[in-house]
Amino acid sequence: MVAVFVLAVLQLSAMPQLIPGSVTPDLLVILVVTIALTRGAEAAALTGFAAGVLLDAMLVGRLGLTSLLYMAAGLWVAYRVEPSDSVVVSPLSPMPRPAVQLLYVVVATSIVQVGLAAAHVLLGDGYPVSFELVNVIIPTIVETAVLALVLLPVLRRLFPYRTRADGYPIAA
Amino acid sequence: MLIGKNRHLRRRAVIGLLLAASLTLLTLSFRQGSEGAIGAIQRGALAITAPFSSATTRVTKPFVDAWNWTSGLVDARSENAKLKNELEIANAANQTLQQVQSELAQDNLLLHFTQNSQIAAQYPFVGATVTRQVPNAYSQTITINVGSGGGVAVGDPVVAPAGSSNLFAGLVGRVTTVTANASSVELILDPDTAVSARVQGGTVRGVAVPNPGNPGVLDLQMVPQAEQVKPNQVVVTAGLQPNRQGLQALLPAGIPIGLVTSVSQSDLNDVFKGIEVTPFVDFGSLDRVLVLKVVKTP
Repeated sequence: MVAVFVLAVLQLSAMPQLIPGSVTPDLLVILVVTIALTRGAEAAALTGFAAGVLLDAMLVGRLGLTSLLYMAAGLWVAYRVEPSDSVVVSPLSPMPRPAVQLLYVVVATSIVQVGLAAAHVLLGDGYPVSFELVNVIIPTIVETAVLALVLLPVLRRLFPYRTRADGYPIAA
Repeated sequence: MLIGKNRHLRRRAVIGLLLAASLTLLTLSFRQGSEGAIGAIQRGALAITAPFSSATTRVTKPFVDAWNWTSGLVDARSENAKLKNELEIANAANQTLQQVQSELAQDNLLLHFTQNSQIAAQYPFVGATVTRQVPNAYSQTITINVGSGGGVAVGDPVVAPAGSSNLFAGLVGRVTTVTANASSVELILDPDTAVSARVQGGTVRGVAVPNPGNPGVLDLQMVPQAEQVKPNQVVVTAGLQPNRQGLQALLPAGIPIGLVTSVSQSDLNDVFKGIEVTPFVDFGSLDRVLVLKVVKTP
């Protein structure tokens, strides 16, 4: 929860100053992906929920919308990496390769950004889809992916992979 | 298996609970807006995070300012270099334009001379450009890019634009050497040159020779003390050009030479007046000239 709080503050206070342009990278989605990779689906859902609520509250937006999207992104990543019941997991290399982790960040960011854009368009308070795609969605995905190159290893160190005897990650 | 089932159930319960919480918050958010419990949550979150946001901004601001200052400096330097380059290009273009304008002005003066001067009406003429100018204390000659191929012959007078005169052109000198496509012109400032001259609008005659102590100025010699000459009178060719070897070459009368700038009569025993004449032509910037084809070529 401390990480959620710190990253939310950084995302809304520091990033707009440090990153030029009208969009900022999504630090919280990187955290959610990291938690999904290292701690499993429940922890990812809980982190996504908390991150979304905090972000929406700080932005005085519609509470719950971002939570749903962060949870969806976290659960998608968690189910992708989680071993099935019939698979014997090797304790030596349980984590996907860094490039795959980065790909998860890109997909998770896409889920969140497309979901937000779709919700705004459906609610009638968004910009045209083409504008959102060119000026918000793609730049956010790119910036988040670039920042994930630095932030992912740091967060993986903060939240190391821990498993139980049956191979499933231990939730935070 | 039992552990796995319990885990699945717990996971579903947790995720279901979180989903339900999210949807509840979303519904309440739509219903209440910024009022009620939702508003309280938002205000609470803002109140809690505001000091941290403020601290973060304070921490990052120096770095942002430093970055902006550095990038601004780099931008300013590159812009400075770009502007300097543009200035050089503009200066070069400006110089070219000024040169073209100057040439046009000179051509215009020569055109006026050919249209208004009786001399130009009497003789055919050909335009030329000065390709070489070697002015020094011993020899005042120029080379022009027209020679016998253009009908130029030795002895032909050469005139150049005279912007300061309403006569449009003034005498430069006389052709001394001719090749097929170039000619050498001895200037009237050459120490070996003497031009038979007269004051326009009168009967005063004399010989215009370079002033040895004042380069660029002519002395109108051999004018008797009794003659009346005043400053600002125009001096033109008289028609005959005696040279030091005793030969005489024809030079048409009426070609403007210059203006009388001073008349002195200091010594009563002196037979002649001291008259200084400033040529109309600026010999320091000769470019376009006109050769009057006075001498008939076979």
